[in-house]
Amino acid sequence: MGRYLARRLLLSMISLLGLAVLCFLLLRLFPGGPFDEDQALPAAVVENLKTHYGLNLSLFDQLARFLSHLVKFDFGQSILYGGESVVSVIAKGMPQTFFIGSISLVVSVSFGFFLGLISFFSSTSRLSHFIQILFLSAPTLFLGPFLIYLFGFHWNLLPITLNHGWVSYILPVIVLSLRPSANMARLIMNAMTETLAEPWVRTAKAYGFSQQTIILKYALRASLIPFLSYMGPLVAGVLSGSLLVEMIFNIQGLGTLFVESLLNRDYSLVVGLTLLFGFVLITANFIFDLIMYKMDSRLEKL
Amino acid sequence: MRKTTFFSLIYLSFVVLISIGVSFLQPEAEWKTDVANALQGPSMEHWFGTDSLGRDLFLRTFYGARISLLLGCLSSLCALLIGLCYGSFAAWKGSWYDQIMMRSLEIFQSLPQMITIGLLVLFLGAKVKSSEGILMIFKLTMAISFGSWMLFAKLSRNLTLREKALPYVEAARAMGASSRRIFFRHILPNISTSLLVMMGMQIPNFLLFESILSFIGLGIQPPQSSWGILLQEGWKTLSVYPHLILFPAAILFLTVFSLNFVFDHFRLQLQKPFGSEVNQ
Repeated sequence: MGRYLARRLLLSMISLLGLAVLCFLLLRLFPGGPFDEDQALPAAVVENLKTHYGLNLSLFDQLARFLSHLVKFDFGQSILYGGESVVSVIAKGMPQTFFIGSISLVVSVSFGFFLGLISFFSSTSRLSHFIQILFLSAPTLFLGPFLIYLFGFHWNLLPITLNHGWVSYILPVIVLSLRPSANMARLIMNAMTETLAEPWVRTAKAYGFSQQTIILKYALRASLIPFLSYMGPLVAGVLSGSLLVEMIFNIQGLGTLFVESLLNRDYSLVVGLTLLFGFVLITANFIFDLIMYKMDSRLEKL
Repeated sequence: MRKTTFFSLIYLSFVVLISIGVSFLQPEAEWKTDVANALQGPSMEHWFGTDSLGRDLFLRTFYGARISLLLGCLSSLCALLIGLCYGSFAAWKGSWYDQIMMRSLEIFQSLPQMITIGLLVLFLGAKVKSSEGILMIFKLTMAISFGSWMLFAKLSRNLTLREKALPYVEAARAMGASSRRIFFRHILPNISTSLLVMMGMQIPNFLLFESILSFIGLGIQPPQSSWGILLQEGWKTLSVYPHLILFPAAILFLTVFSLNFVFDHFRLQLQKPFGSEVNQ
């Protein structure tokens, strides 16, 4: 256990560092700078701005500066937000994204689990198959506008912006959690089918355990493994904010920030956000790997 | 074959045929504006209505389909090739090649896909003049495939590892076949079906990546038409002219839905033992 933990931890740290360097280099090497668009600026002003943000140092110096600041949780200043520190810009966007993200996480896990079990037990497997693929392929770009038009404008039932209390969270949460829940339902169903085909189930049956005990006590637990390995990316995806959902529902969260910083080439903000997203994904994967490891003793051999 | 799969196939071939058809039958109509007839609802003359410049939305949707479908297929093919090279090389070499390559794969994967693709588009230079449509398609293909080849790499590594351990490889080696011959003549044909099905199952995702990128302004640029562009344009006027977004969105949805259905069918067929009955 200790060795596995240490190895995973080390690997995660290396991934994060690699990510930081890679991201930094990518952003410094790509064509176009943050001040290219403002052609009205005199050359001297651009020069001063560049000096202020440290853009005219050599690449290596910039990287060294970046890494030494990184240790102190200083990602530099956002150019887009007039020199505000990246940490505070991100901190402003985080609550919205994390709030909506965690609601839709709960919704998609419970709904997906429910849907998966229903489609496993129900006799109308074709219908549930149809429903799963339907949910799986409803793109945000279709579902978002469609639901907004139907509920927001046509029937005038639900608010389409976030400033109307809890009802305004219904639509974004639905749009955000439909695909993950279908994915999850699928994983659970497939895993259950596979688990029940394994020889130990037959043995358990021969020992006289009831179908119910086998499923609830053993098979369900064994089929949680693929479900858990999907949880890491899901948590990260939901917490880093869907770019589209946030744009469509005009949520000032991390996704919107990321798009804005990409479109405006705000180096420091892009790097800060990328590192945050990477950190969330790596941490989530780490945690769920540990849970999986705890649950399935066969993994100890790895 | 199930009915839904059958209808999905029919729908898909219709979309492809129409989108090829419009570019042959009405090659100029893509740019033809008719401001007098702008923003009309669906009618017999304009099936999907017209947009803010009076362009026929039906034609634009299927002009857009050309770019979107092309991008989807091209980038999934590219991602497959990159992943296949990487994964099978790692598996074929084994030992510490495999270790290092798979660990670095984990680093590549430590970002949400959409974020990686966004970064890559930016890296390749997002702002391209609209006249350079081909270049833009090339850039997007590169960005999308380099942002999502990891899945294919993992799959092809696992498949190659599995095949490598089978006796027929040993037999081929005993008969003096070179590594290259074993890989290309024996292993590749055996793993290609799974890889192709995987590629098909990923095409819907690649279509969505294109539309998301164009929607947020990093992808295809107007006046070029693609599904993402149409959705972006229609989105602005959703409350007043919903047909501008709902028609292209519905076509996109149906395409993704049918693709998922068709390739899910293939996936299920693949899981069955060889030669078993096709009908369910």
